[in-house]
Amino acid sequence: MPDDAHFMPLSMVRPGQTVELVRIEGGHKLRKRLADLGLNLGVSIRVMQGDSGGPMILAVKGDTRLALGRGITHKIIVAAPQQK
Amino acid sequence: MVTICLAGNPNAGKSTIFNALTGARQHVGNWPGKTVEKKEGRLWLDGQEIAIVDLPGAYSLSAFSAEETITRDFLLEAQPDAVVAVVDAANLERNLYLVLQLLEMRVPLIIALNMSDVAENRHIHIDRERLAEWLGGLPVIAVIGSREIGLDALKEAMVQVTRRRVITAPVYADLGPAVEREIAALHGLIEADAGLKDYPARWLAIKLLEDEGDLGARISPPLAAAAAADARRRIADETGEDADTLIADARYRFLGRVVGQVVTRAGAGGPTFSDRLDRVLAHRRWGVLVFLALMWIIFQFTANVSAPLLDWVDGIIAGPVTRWAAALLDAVGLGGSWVESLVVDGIIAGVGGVLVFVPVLFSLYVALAVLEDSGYMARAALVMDRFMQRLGLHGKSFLPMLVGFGCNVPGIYATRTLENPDDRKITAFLTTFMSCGARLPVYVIFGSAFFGAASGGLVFGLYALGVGVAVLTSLLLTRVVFRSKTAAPFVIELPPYRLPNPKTVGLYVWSNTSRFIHNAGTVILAASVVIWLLLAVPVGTGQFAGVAPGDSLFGATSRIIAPVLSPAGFGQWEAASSLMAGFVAKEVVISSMSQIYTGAAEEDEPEQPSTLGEDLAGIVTGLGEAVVLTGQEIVNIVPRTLNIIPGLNVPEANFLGRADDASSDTALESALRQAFTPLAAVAFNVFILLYVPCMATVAAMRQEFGARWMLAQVAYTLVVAWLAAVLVYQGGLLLGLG
Repeated sequence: MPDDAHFMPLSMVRPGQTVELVRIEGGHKLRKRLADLGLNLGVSIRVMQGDSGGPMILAVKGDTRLALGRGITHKIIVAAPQQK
Repeated sequence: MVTICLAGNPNAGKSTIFNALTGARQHVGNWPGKTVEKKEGRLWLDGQEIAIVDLPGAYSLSAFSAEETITRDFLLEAQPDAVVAVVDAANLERNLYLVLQLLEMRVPLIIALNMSDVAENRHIHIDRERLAEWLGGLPVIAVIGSREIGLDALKEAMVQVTRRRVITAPVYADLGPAVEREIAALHGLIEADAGLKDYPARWLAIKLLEDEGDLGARISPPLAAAAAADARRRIADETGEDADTLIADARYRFLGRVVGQVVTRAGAGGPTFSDRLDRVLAHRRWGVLVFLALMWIIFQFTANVSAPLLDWVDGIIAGPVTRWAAALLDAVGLGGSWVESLVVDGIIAGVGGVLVFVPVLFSLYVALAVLEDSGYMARAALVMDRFMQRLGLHGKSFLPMLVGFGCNVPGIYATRTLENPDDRKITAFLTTFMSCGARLPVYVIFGSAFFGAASGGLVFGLYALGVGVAVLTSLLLTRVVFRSKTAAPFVIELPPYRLPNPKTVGLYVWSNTSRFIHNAGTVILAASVVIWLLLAVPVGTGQFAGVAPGDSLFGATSRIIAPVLSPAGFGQWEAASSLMAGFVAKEVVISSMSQIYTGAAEEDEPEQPSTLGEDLAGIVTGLGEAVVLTGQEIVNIVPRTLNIIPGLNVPEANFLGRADDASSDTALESALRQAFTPLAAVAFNVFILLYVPCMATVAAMRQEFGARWMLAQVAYTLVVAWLAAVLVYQGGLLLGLG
């Protein structure tokens, strides 16, 4: 597990980067809904599209593609891969 | 009867398999009390007829969406003889998440591993035997629904499972010590409770730990629910995580192991074809442009391309069908009687007036089915979401509203593409303010009667007013009536693009169109008869079915209503009765106005007696012409599109070399100038724009959302129309425009 310094909201991740889901800052309902769609703790997320403003397109679990509104991407906390 | 249901994620290809199994032997309705579609079909299997139920697409068996609640409750209550879990082979891990929950429910399960061709194309290989082993020996059948491959093996498995009703050995993901300990405790509690014996104990225990509100409230005595609340607290204290997070996490960890051993991938998963397409179609600028272009084309199809066929149907109903009915009644000695009036003026005119929309709906449904089945619909929602969010709506709400400009009726049906029932209701509410094609002739008549060359301004202003009222209504509904729903976050799966399956498209079009026709034969038939009766019953002297509109019960009612309209400047009974006729359909406003204002109906061309043979020949040549004209309209999409650019004037194709029959209704126009002041005319048109569009939309509202919403819609549009018309008239008077 990377330390806290590497945590950031998903909304800050740039297209092409791969990150790991650490925490969802939302209620029971949001967490459950996202998990049902494949966004569970520890899942590896690749950001396909989404710079500035609009929704983001993510690749999870290989071939699943999800689009998320900006609002939610602020609530999903991810860890950047460790840099040497 | 043996019942087998299909369950699976949205986009897993459930419908394709359902269609392949049942063909045209299916029935589409609504789940009781829900706006979610229920599809049921029949299949001969093993010497008996079995029922196949296509459950709504669900990612999980939670109660967070109507679809998931329906799926869960159906599995609990209907106790199907077998459940076919349709699993997208190219998206295995996420799809198995639902399967894992189905296993917990202990239903007799078959796995249909769908779209294995797509998976193979992406070099994803799935070891089916290994997968079956992991899933406790379940039958795992490879199918390609779109090409009807593997169906025999699937049917064979269905026979085996329903005959034996064997449920395979339990397969559970280990949910971790803290959760498993609480499950064991709840398990005992649930099994000891006679009232809960119908629930699969482990499944219920997990659901309670996941804090599924409605299930907890439903079980009685609420002993287990209370115990679960304590258990959740203990789990959170011990692990620092909520139970639902731990459960989801453990399930995916289990599935990660399964997929790791079952799936082999050749080569790294680079960007797929869909990913590349999405760089344009889901782009926040290009995507919007593509979407608007597609919407324009669909709008052209519903508004113009279907028009020749619409005229053809209209011609058949108004011509041969009416003549045959009259001749038939003549033959039995009822010619000229009230029965003829009922059949011809009431039923044929009323039901026929609605049936003419069939070509419009047909073309709309083809377009919708193609957009949906190709996977594009999710992208449309994505690119429009930012704009619609400002109105408190979902991205997909844009489409029904746009379609509404052509015709409100398909617009209301197009709300079916929205998942959230509240979004659907709001969008349907807004759709009726989109000024449809049938309202346009009214604006045009008034425009040319009062404003001459400036009439374009009136027309444009009315269209804009409709949009403005829709925006205000949306803000009112989302901020006040449905305040609780606005927080719905935007999360959507983007399925891979694929070529639309002709069978899926065909069955979608057929089931939706036939439902509309069925509706015309019932609700609208009844309403037509009622309106005919009102027009036929004389007030005071006069003969039944032989009175002038002014002396009928209809006219008398108009006189009662008229004073209510006088603040809007058109308080004469003639105006009121035109509006009452417009309640049936806006198409009849002009014809009833010319009847009422100019004293006589504009006579149709003198009836030439024609033989049955001539009529039939006329219908056939008419169809030929309609097909040619349809082609012409498709071609004309190009010039119409180019002509949007100011300064450009590309001529439109005219295959049959006919001139537009721009009949000038001068007699009516001068009568209107007598009856209305220019300001009152504007107010009248505002009312026409905003009040109940037609009986067909009212029927559509009832069919989709029930009588309560239908009445709310009627009341709301009447109030808004009245307020706006009064505001325009009184405001105009204050400004000295009267």
